[in-house]
Amino acid sequence: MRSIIAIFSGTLKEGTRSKLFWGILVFALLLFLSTMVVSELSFAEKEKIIADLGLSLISAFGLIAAVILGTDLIHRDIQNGTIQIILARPVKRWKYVAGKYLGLMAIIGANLFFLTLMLLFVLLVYVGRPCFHLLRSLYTIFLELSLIASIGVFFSTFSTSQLLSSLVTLGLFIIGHSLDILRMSAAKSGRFLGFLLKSLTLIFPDLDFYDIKIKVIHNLPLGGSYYVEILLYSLGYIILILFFSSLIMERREFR
Amino acid sequence: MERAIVTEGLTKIYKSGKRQTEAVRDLTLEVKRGEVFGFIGPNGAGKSTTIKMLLSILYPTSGRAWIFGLDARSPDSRKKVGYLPENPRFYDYLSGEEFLRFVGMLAGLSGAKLERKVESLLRYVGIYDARKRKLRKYSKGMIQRIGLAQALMGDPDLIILDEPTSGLDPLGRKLTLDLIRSLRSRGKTIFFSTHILKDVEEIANRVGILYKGKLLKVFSLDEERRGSGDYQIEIENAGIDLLAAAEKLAEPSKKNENRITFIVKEDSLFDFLEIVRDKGGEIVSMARKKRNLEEIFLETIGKG
Repeated sequence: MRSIIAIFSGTLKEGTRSKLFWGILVFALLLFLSTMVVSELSFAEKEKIIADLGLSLISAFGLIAAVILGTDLIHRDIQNGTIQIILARPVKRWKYVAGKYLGLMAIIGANLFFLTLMLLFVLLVYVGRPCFHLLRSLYTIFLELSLIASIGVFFSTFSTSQLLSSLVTLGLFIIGHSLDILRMSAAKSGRFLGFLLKSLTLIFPDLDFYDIKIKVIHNLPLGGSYYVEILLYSLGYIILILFFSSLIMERREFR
Repeated sequence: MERAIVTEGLTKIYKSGKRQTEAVRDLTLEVKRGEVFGFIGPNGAGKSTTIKMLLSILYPTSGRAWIFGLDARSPDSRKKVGYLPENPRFYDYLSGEEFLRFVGMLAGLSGAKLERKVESLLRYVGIYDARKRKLRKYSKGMIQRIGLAQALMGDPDLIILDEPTSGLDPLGRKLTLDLIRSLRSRGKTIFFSTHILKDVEEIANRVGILYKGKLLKVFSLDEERRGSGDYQIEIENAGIDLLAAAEKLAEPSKKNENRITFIVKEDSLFDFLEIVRDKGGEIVSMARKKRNLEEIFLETIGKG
């Protein structure tokens, strides 16, 4: 357990001391401020526009962090040879993967926390009251990013190119948000292609399941079981992906 | 005596497409507790590959290895091991102190014990004053010293060093060798690879010569040096008669004003001494000629 904590805290320090982490926060702050200008140009409800743009920005910046850091952390340890220092200690390889992933989650969590604070602050200034109901959306954004990050970690355990890992992870993110299209195509396609497309919709996580932004902005109820279901759905995928990542790491050699 | 390292038929074949490279071939070796074992060979001989197999960073294609009796594939075998890789690169966003704390936790330390160990190691390797500085601002020599400190975290009984003095300036090299000497005096087992033979001569008890993946020879440095059977004899006032007679039995190696040194084979020793006595020469010094490691190394790989 101590080795997981060590790797977790090392990863958290790495992430929070990276230029990417602070760059995202500074850039996001500028964009949050610009949402106020955009909302001025609209006739619709300004609070909802800021909330909508704000949540989209949080989601987008979180995705950048999850993809880049997720595909980079283990990859960089391998490239630099730092992983050899860790594995030369009595550390099981699955614990290394777990520590790295948990550290990554903490970085993404910290990132979301600061971005949320910015959004709530902008809304407080603009609307004049706190909009805590938006936090429900943050829960699903965090779970979705956790899932995406685990995919990034998975690719970083065997890919030699971080760029390629990032692109494939992003590709899977897009597919995960396009399963409805795949399902429709499967229904219209021939037997073989239809079977193939249908199989893909069963394998890939349905990321639209995480998109509750509209309901949250309009403060509509989601049902209590939704939060538990999406948590279990995410955990199922994450545990499975990390299991395969650990299996790959277990077999991998470092020259 | 307890054995720190044992390998049996350790072999590593790298495969790249259809090409196969045999990096280490059928390596069988034993290193006893308390030994300083120098693992020498030219670049590409398979030294680092062997070390990485001992630590399960690489897996052998065949053969096995044990560390203090435990299978090297088990993480438990590394509980008493410290490792310094060749050209180490650490987390450069951490300070020296933070990095050692990180490694200490990996070694199973925590709380006050960890803090004490971090401080004592920083002092031991002489970089306590730079403990707050980020590793990216450390010089190569300082990186090597923090590398040694991390290898010593957890007070390991076996310390494995891969080319510990490679690329260091003379001062950095001296500091590193002094640290290894002090570890040797504390009874630690040290297994180190290098292609710098002088370092091995200075600190090792036993040596293994690896060449093209094959372990050609394992020997005790003292015994091998003594075992040449040659004597080095320095003579003063050697006249022409003496020189002519002596050169039939021995090989002159050095001349210095009126002194001349001969290398004499053991079986010619008494005849040679007789000549010197009869021809009025004066023996200034006589000692068994020590073979240096370079001679042993070249002779061994020449046969290999």
